[in-house]
Amino acid sequence: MSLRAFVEVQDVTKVFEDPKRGSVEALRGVSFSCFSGRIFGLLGPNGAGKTTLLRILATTLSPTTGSVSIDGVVVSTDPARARRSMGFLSGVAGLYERSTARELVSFFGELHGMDRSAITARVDELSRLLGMESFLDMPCGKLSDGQRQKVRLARVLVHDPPVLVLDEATATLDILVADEVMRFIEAERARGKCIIFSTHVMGEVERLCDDVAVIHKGRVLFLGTKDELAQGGRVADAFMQLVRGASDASSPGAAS
Amino acid sequence: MRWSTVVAIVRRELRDILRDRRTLITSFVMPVLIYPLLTIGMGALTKSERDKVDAAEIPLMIREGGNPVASRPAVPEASTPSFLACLLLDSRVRIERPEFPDKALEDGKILGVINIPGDISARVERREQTIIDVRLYSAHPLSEEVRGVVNKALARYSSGLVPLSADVEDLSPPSHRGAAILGGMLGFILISLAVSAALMPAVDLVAGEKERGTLEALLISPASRVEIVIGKFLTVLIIGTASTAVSLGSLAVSMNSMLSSMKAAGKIEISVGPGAFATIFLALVLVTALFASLGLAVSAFARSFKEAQSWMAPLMFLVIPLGMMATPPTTMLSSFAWVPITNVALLVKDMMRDQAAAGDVLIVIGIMSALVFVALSFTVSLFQREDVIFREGGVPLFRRDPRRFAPPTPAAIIAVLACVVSTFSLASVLQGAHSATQLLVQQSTFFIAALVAWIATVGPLRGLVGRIPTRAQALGGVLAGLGSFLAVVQLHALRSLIFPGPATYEADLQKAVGPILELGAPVAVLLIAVMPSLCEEFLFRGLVQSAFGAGNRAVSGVLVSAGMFALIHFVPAQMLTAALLGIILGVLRLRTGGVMAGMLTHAVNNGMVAAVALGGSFLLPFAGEGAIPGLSATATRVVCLAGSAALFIAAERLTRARVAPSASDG
Repeated sequence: MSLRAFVEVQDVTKVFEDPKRGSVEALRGVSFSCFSGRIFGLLGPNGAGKTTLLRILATTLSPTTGSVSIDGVVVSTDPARARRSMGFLSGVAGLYERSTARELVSFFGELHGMDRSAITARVDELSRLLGMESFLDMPCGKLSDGQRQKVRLARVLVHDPPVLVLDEATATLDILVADEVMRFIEAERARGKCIIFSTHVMGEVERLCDDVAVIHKGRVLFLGTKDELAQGGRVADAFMQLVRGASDASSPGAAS
Repeated sequence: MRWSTVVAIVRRELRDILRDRRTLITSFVMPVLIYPLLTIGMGALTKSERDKVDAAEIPLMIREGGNPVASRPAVPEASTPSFLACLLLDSRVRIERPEFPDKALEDGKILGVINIPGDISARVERREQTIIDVRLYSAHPLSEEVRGVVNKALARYSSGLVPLSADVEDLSPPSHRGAAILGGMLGFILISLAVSAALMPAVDLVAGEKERGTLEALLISPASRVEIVIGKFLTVLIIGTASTAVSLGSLAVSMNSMLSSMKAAGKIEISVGPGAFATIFLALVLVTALFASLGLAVSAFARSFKEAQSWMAPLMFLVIPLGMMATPPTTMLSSFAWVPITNVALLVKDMMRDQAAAGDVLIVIGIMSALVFVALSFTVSLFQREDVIFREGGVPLFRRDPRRFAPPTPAAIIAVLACVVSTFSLASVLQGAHSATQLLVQQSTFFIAALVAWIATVGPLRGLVGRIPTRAQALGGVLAGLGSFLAVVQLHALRSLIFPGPATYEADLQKAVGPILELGAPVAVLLIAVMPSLCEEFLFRGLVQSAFGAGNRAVSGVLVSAGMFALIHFVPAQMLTAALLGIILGVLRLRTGGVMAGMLTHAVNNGMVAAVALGGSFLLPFAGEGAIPGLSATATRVVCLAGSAALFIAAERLTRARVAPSASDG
């Protein structure tokens, strides 16, 4: 089966002007591609530049140099079209507390230009797939963490995008709900979706990811398949070895 | 309850609040500054209005024994003055003899009709009850002066033992009296309601959503930033308008019941026709729209709901003085139609008494609509800036200067202060010298002080000049100069409110530069336009702004340099305009990374002043005095301000930095 690159990131840098620290390089020459039917794991310690990279993919930040294309659309030239091809689940995204789950998901369907009947059918389908029937008409403010995360997932999937970007998708969930969500992600991969999955939980990487990029201090330390990273061992060990090695190399005195 | 626990909680909370600079500024610094300013401003406005009233003529029809008095009679100094003579002691009284006195009263051609009994002196001598019959039209702003004139005459004519009094009849319809009593205050109350109805939902819809994490989800959707801003703006507008309408209804019912006794007696009536009601409502909707967009802009900028709320206080402080300016009875819409907020409050007053001129109404609606458009465009531009939407620190209201100058040491600042002090001393030493000599000495001092301070404390001189502007930026500087001239001189016209005085722009100008003009046009242009643009820009934008605006203090740099620039203009009336010009030049310095574009702006601005002074009287309408042929004074002002805005927009586009920040620049 020939794989199609749905997401292409080419030589992206991002410089922030911080009022106190001056120019801060959050990303330096990051390049990778993500393919249909595969899950791409984005790994890195806190402050590595993952959130900045994901926000660039989501078009809420612009790269200082370099380019990003999603489903063949260059993000900087047509950000709205790029957003239509993508579902983005942010780790900090909130829900409208006074809207019901159904209203909220329908609202985002409207923003994606779907008609009323298509929205109704899709909401029912997602409700069944994610097990949301029991709380679909409850206000989001009254839902548990697991239920809220399912609503977030439904929101990003309502327009059935070919690309899914999931940032910390299971961070606040108990093991049962986390397993449900992971099974859902696996099912979406089987449907040919291109999925970018950012997480700190190495067990999830072991279970879900096909390809992996390790980012540290804005640079890509490793890019390849999960098996190439693990080299027969555990992903967590390989990851820590890479990051510690890079930290030691960049610490003062390392050159001497 | 343990008091030690309560004290510990209070101590922690207080410490937290005291560490929040915004709370300190809005709770303590702003009230300390705003109320004195408000008192001074209101005092100056009241005095200015009083001066106008004291200087205004009072046209009266006076009948003596039923016969109209034709002119001021000559009164022999030795004789006992008659009541008529006592009336005419007030030099403001002008005698009129209209054919239809009541109509003349209604039209404002006369302010009162005074009937003096023919046998007044005999009756007073016999100590018989004598009545002076006075008719006036209380809806006219100056009608109270008629009562004052009559009361003073009564006091002068009799010692108080004589049973002499005035019977005042008010011919104005009850609805006009209602408008006169409620006056601008009602407009002020309605504006306050509209503003608060807009600000609260605006804060929740952006800053609240930022805090709850729902804004990012919306930004990631296919909705464009313009669609998001317009959607939120319309939501706030609908809620704000509905809330204002409800408040208006509630206020009407409350006032109706409060004024019922006066209404029952037929003394007043509050009646607003459908056309007037629609106009007032439209003006209030525009106020709501303006503050809806300002509220959205402020809350887009804020990092949290609490921060957005603390930014709302300055917006309210802006509304209070502008609204209060409409409350004196003599403040007229025709003079203030171009002042936002004040114009709406005055429009409410004039619409209630059916006296608003259609041209003034159109100007108010036009000005407010233009402001809504500008505020909304600003909000959209903020939403498109990632450093605002994902703001984590600092105040990036202005784009950061891409060329970071090395901050001058305190020695530089001391040198600057020494320079300013020496200028003041020189001004006193050279007080009798020719204006050209004074200007030459002052400008040379600025130039030398800037050079010496920079070289001694910072290093390479090229840093003082900054980056050389591109052609587009230079053109932007020229356009900003024309825009500044149009804006600054309009402010000069406005300054008469704060610093009342009979001086005109032309008179002020001749006083300031008259002696320099005698030296011929080339010298005048050199001294007025060229030298200040070089020397003052080196000092204020080159040195002072760099000294105070290094690092993340770009805004402080602009404000301090503009403040010092204003101070060296000595005359209080000029300081206001100099401060505005200083801010424009400071922002240009930030945008272009150097002082040269600002030099062009300064030279063009001053060059236009020189052109007016050198006999370009046809330019006076653009300098806030007189009118463009075929237009009213207010319309001329609006045209100038619109032209100024267009020039600034063009300058903003042209001076936008196109070079990416580079660390090697420093």
